[in-house]
Amino acid sequence: MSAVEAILAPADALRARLYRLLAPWAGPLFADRARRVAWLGATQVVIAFLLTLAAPLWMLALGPVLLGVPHLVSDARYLVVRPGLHRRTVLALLCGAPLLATCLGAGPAIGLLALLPAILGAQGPWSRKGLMLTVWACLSGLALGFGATFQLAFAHLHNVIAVALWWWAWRERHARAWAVPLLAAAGTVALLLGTAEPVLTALGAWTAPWTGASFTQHAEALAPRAPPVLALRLVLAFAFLQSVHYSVWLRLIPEDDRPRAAPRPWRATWRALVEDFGGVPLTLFVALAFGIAVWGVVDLTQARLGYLRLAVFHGYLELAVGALWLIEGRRS
Amino acid sequence: MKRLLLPAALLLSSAAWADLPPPDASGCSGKQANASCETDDQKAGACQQSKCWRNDYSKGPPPTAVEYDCLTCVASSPPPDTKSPAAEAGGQSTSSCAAAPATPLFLAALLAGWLIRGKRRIV
Repeated sequence: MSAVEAILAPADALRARLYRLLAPWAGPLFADRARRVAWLGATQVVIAFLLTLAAPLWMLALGPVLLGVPHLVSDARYLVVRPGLHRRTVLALLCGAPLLATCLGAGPAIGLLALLPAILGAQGPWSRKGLMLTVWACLSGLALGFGATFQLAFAHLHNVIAVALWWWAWRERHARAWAVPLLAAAGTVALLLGTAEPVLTALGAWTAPWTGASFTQHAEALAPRAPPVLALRLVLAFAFLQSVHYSVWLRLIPEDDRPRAAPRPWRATWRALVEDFGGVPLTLFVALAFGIAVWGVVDLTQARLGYLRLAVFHGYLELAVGALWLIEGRRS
Repeated sequence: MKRLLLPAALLLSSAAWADLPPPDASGCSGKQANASCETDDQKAGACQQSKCWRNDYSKGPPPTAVEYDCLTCVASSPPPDTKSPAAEAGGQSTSSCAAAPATPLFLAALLAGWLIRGKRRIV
């Protein structure tokens, strides 16, 4: 047993005891995967909405620092490693180069170049490839013509893209999870209509000095040219949808993707991670996640911005793999 | 080796997510007054002390406007007898930037058409 498994063993024992205790009442909720994903997803969307009403600045500050790297690892795991795309070496290298370039400062048009090898290298009908090429060309045209605006729109929309990708690509595993996209859409509309503002005023949540950031800074970053009230609401919607995005990658897709339908102990989860990535890369990921969390303790704002610099690539990765799967009509 | 590509991609990452500054302020980032700079539309200029405004949401909406000192890049005025190539061309812009957004669209449409056409021939 590895050191990590030894650490996780007591947590697993506690979890098993809790399951046994709750089994008479909550057993049916956990036993069936589709039902479990449906209620877990709905609960997480509701919690994300309530947190957006109560502490949006904390969500924006802590979310990326604590959940950012794990969700990037999940991105890579469920989009690349588990479907085996890394074994299609030429495709992986050609897609990987522009993705890496975006992390090094390249603009969105370069990031979108990752879609080209995915589209042309996909095994599927040329009619679908032609359609996807047209989509790529439109996006590239927008990226070249409206670079900064495109990046902002993409930052907002990529949260939704993850929900759509999960809903479509793993659809056979969560037939009853309609509540998740519906609640996410309803929550976004409610925030854009101003539902949160009286609550934030009542709770005194317009400032959170310990986060090192204010609504002013977030509005300047996320909606710089929008009218003030709309800018504020876009920031709130971003906080909410970012949280939903993390839930999808860290909870719902892992639940849906694993072969075994029953909940998996944490030790088994760790073993599966080691099997998927290998020990050395996984150690680097864990070190990176802890590094950013510790950085957050020292300087929360810089840690958040540091993570965001790191994460630029993953929206384009989601688009590229989504395009590949849409053409191939399958996930792997 | 392949397994190292992903962590390498993550660890080597190091760039661009910046908060958007006020108009023409980004060219003066980290500079002092009177330093040379470039405006948002790539004109040469100099950094000058200026007043910028930002919305303060600390009391909720609607926000109050807060003024603060900042440096903005002010374009140098061109010599009076200099005509731009665009003006000499009758005021029509010949910038390649205007055509740029349409270029990939056009190329992709050509490529898509060619690919679909090729498939039909095979069938």
